[in-house]
Amino acid sequence: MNGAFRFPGLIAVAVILTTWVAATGSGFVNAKFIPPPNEVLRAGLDDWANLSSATIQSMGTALVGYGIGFVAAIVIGMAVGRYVAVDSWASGPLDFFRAIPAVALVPMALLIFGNSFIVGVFSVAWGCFFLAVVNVVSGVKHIPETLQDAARSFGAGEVKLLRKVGIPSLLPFFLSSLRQNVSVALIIIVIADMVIGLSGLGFYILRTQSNALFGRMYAAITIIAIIGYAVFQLLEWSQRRLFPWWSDSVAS
Amino acid sequence: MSGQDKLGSAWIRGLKTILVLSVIFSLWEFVSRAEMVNPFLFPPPTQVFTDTLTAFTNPPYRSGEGLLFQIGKSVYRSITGWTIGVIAGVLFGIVAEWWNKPGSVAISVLEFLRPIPVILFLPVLVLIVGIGDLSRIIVIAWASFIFVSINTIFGVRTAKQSLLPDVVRSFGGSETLVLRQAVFGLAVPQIVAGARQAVGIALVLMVASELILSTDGIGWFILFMRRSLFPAQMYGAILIVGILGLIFGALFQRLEKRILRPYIR
Amino acid sequence: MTDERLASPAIHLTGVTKTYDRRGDDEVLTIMEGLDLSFHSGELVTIVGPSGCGKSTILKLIGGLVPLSGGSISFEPSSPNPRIGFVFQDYANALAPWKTVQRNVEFGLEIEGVASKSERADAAARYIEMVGLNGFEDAYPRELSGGMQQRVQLARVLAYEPDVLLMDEPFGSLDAQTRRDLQQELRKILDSLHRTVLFVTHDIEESLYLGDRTVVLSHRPARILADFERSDQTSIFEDFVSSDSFRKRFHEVWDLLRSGPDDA
Repeated sequence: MNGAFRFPGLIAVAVILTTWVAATGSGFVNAKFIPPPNEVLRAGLDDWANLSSATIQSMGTALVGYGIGFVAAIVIGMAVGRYVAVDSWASGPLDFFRAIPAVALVPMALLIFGNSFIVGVFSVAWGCFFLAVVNVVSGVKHIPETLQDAARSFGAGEVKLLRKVGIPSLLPFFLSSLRQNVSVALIIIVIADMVIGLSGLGFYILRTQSNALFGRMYAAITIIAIIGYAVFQLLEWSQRRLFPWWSDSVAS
Repeated sequence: MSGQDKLGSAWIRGLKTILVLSVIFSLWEFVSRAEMVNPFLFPPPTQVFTDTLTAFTNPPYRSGEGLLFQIGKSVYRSITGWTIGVIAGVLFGIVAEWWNKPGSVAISVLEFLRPIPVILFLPVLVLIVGIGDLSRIIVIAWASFIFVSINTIFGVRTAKQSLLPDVVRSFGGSETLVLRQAVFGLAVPQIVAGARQAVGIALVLMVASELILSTDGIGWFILFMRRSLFPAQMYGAILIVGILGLIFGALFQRLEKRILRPYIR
Repeated sequence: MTDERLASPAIHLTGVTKTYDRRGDDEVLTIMEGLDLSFHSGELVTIVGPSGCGKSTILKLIGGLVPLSGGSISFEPSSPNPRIGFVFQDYANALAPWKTVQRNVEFGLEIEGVASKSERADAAARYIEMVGLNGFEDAYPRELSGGMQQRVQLARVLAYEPDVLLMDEPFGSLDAQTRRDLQQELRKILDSLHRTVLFVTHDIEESLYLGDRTVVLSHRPARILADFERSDQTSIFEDFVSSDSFRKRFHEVWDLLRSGPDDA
């Protein structure tokens, strides 16, 4: 890849911004509904206090849920991937529960827990867990048989096998799965916010929309977009730096 | 492994799954009936079943449309949105990548847009096109479009790197023929992979888009049942969403097998 | 250190049986049944046979990577944990892609956990030199050619200083030129080691060239078709394969493999 495309995101941002400005400037879209970028920026800075606290709250909740879901996925995923007995009993029920999207559970969680933080954490954790567990299981199954045999021939038992072969082989899978989970976590937390209707970025968007403060609404949307993109890119960059021998296609 | 063998193990798997799920549901039934947990918040599965069943014929809300109608609405929206998104995605992907230079920009823009949850735009869409099916369909179509076009572009990229386009040219085929015969054919597996991801996303967005600013659909039903304090129906609807997901997945798998049959070596 | 070691053990296979159960069916796959085979201390034995005959399985049984279905395998002098060095054909997947050559060579000792860090590094350096990879200590496996990766595997196993060396078609995935080079180098290295070495291959030339003794196996269920000593001691490949005794042997083995056991 030549230098010009080293930051493809910048090109994308440029294209989007240009289109946005052109569309609003030329009157192609109704400026009432979609204000030009400078308007959005101004509105966002105006209401920075509310916007930032909503962001921190949503992201904090999402992070906790993301972490819990991921850790659970590692533990259960490794057990399922490694031991056929566990796999045969657990994978069916896992597939069954995976079919229930986390967003559908938000009302249920709200009924049961009542506390918006717990509801958020639960929903994000559920969504991320089921997505990540598939990746972890796949990762475990992809650890080369030959490398395991080699380690065993040198006398490694289960624990050493895990430490010296399992974990190092799995790290790139973990990172990849973390990366894929980012968008899922964001969707879930935003919807949870909207459904719970008390606070957080999702609620902020609903509220500003119903008050016709579109500048602020788009500012919130932009923040979510930026965060999602930034985290995604950060993880992808670290993956390339830390695990250069690895490519996503292995995980399919 | 003989065909007989595979069938045997699939049956055993299914049996084990049913066993585990039965244990879980029986436990829930017991714990609920014994009132070890709040039976209002956690109604026993038998009650969930019967109450949900009545929701099909005698729903506890004014508009009078039963659960089947709600399900039908949701399914209609998701399938329509997904189909539109897939078709648009394939067309866009092929066009974008085949005519080289713009292709590289297209993929950057698409990759940039991908992590942005499209559900955020639902409030705006509702403003513009109103609270009806259209806003939800647009949301689902957009998300499907993003997934499928990204995958199509990658598929076309791989196809371009293969020798087949040149083979068609060497036999005197026109560029459109090359496109149709060689490129599309080679890109199909990747496209199907994108479509598969889109199925999952379509389901999630179907429910999600009905939880916000909605007046019907199964997502709305779940929310309404919570608000009106009919938890049994709520659980029932949630399980129905899960079942729908499994059905969609299975149907798509069938379709996928059909399409990919010539590709299995 | 090597001089003070005890002599490499002899290996005895008595009535060894290996079967695989097909799940669900009553069909049982018999790889071998009642196999009797002995390897003397310090012998370099090549085992040759058609693909899928079970020769790799024999190595895995001896190495403890796969359980016995019947019979026994013993080492003489007996020891509870014989040091086995295994070299695999699939070198790409046998090395850890996240480790450098140096670390990969240290891998066996690292698992064992006995040698100190510096001892490990010294041993690795010594054997990296022996296989001709000095200068590549900090390279990663993906940066090396197939032949070089296989040398890394060899160095790794030698650094472990095993009692017994089990090599499972190590050169099978390499091109002809690299194979010839490695075969000659291997002969030289093994000649200086005096360990019991079992080398499995389906390449008749390779088996006759490398082994002090060659065992020919039939297709599944594996049976011994022939077992003979090396015809002459020439160590240069081209000279060896142009000798008359070699050509005669080659034809013998070829005919045996083609026709299989008498009771086919």
